[in-house]
Amino acid sequence: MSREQFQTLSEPMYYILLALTKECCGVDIMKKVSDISGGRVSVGPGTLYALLPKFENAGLIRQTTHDGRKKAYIITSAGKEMLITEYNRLITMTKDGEKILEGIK
Amino acid sequence: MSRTVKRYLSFNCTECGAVKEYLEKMALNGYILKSIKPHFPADIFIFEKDAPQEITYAVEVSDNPSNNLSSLSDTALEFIEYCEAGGWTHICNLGNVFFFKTDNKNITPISTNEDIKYQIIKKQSLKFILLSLLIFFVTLICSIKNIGSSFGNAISSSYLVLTLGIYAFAVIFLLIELFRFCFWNCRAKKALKKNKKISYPSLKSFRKSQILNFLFLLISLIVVIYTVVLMIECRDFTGLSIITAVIPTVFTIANMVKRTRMKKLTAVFIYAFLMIIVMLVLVYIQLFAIYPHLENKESVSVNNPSSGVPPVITVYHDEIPLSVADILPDTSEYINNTKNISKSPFASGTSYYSSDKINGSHISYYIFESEYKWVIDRYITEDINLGNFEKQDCDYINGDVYIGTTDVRHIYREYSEDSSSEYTEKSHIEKETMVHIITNDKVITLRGDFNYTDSEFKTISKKLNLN
Repeated sequence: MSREQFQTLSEPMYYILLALTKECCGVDIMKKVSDISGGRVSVGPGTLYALLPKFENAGLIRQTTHDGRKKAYIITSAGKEMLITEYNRLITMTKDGEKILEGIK
Repeated sequence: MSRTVKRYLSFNCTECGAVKEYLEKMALNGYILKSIKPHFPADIFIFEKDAPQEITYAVEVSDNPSNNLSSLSDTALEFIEYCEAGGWTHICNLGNVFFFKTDNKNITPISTNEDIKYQIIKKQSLKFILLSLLIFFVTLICSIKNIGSSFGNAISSSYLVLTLGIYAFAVIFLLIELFRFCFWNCRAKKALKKNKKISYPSLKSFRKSQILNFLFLLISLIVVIYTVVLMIECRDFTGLSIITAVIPTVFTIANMVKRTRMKKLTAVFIYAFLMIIVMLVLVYIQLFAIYPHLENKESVSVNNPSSGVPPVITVYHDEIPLSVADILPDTSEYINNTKNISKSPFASGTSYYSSDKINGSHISYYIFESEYKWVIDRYITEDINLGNFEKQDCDYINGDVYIGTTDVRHIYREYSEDSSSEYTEKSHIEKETMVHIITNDKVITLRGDFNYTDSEFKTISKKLNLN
């Protein structure tokens, strides 16, 4: 999956990248995502397992340790850039929503 | 009473949801999945009897988790670790398909992203369906080309009708599978576009496909048994030993590969090799083992001159409807009559040959009979036309009977021994008359040393009950 395919991140993708702003072991990401989102977002292990190599191939994350089957990952500068772009997009969306929806309320 | 129950199931990747549902229903009936034994052509699901329980199963396809076809490489273990960290308990796996269970009803499903799940299932299913279709198409085309080149021969042989039927059934079955897959794929794409959940084949349609699989295996087994019986009858012990040695060996190796831990590329190479062996055996059985025997199986040598006993003509005349002596008056006592019968529910074809061993005169005729008009029409179009025969050129006799004659040329080869004991071939062409007699349910093709005079026609009509 090329980086172009991650132009807009889905909710689980966004939270996985958020979780990887600090080095984290692959299997621990699910718990971290749940903690960050206050239990609102949960990523299935199958989805996480399929997404990590795709992020890695797109250069958004990189492996830090590879001890047997235990792999730890961290976000790359390209990943951070994409996360910030997505964050800004969400902020813009929120602000645009505010302008309209506050009037309705 | 045994506490273990075995079920034979075969499924494709799109049916994982139906398998999950099936396992959950079995658990509600008190049958808990313990393990799965990889087996060809259907895998063996082993259940243990226990108290009825509400268990949530997950049957997940993982995209290329391993370099091995069979279980538990590092990447497969890594996938299992992720799922166990998510609260699932691993039961077993079949290649890329993993089986998990949990008692927690509120657990996060293993696959939460529909798009990723769809991509994995599409890739795995398409590979399997296209490979199966390719194999069956190649086999079907080979069979039709080699066996079905003569419509008359194929339609009048039960064995050939049955085997061609099996191939056609297999191809139709796989085409339906392909059509179902394409239909599912289109619906899945639409659902993804609309951000809806993709629907997968239900337990009901999975059960239907299990019945179809079972029927297909049963019919194939009948063909194998029929083939073996034919070979025993024909005393074809070479063919018999090939079948009895090759087929179990192929099955054993296929099962070994399925169970043994080996590199995916090696396993694929072995499977491809086994497929080629099976296809070669099928072609051998049909072209060299069964087909020639079908022609000779019911061959009745009414008289064998090599026995040295002069035959009494009148006795043998009754054995075939029309003998060379009926048409040609100056025949000797050494008449050899043979007939070959081939029958199927659609048609029968009987070929007769009658020759005078002393003066060399002979007649041969083939009677193709069918009560189905389309069979007769197709036979006339496909087989008779090959002999440059056109129905519109026929003489029209007695309302129903068409007669047409065609000059055919035969190359006879004689071998003579010269002074240096080497054989030289002398060819000469002899002109022979071929007569086609067509009625509503019969096509008779006669050829031989006769001129087809009125008196000869009367004899032929009388002997072959054409009036």
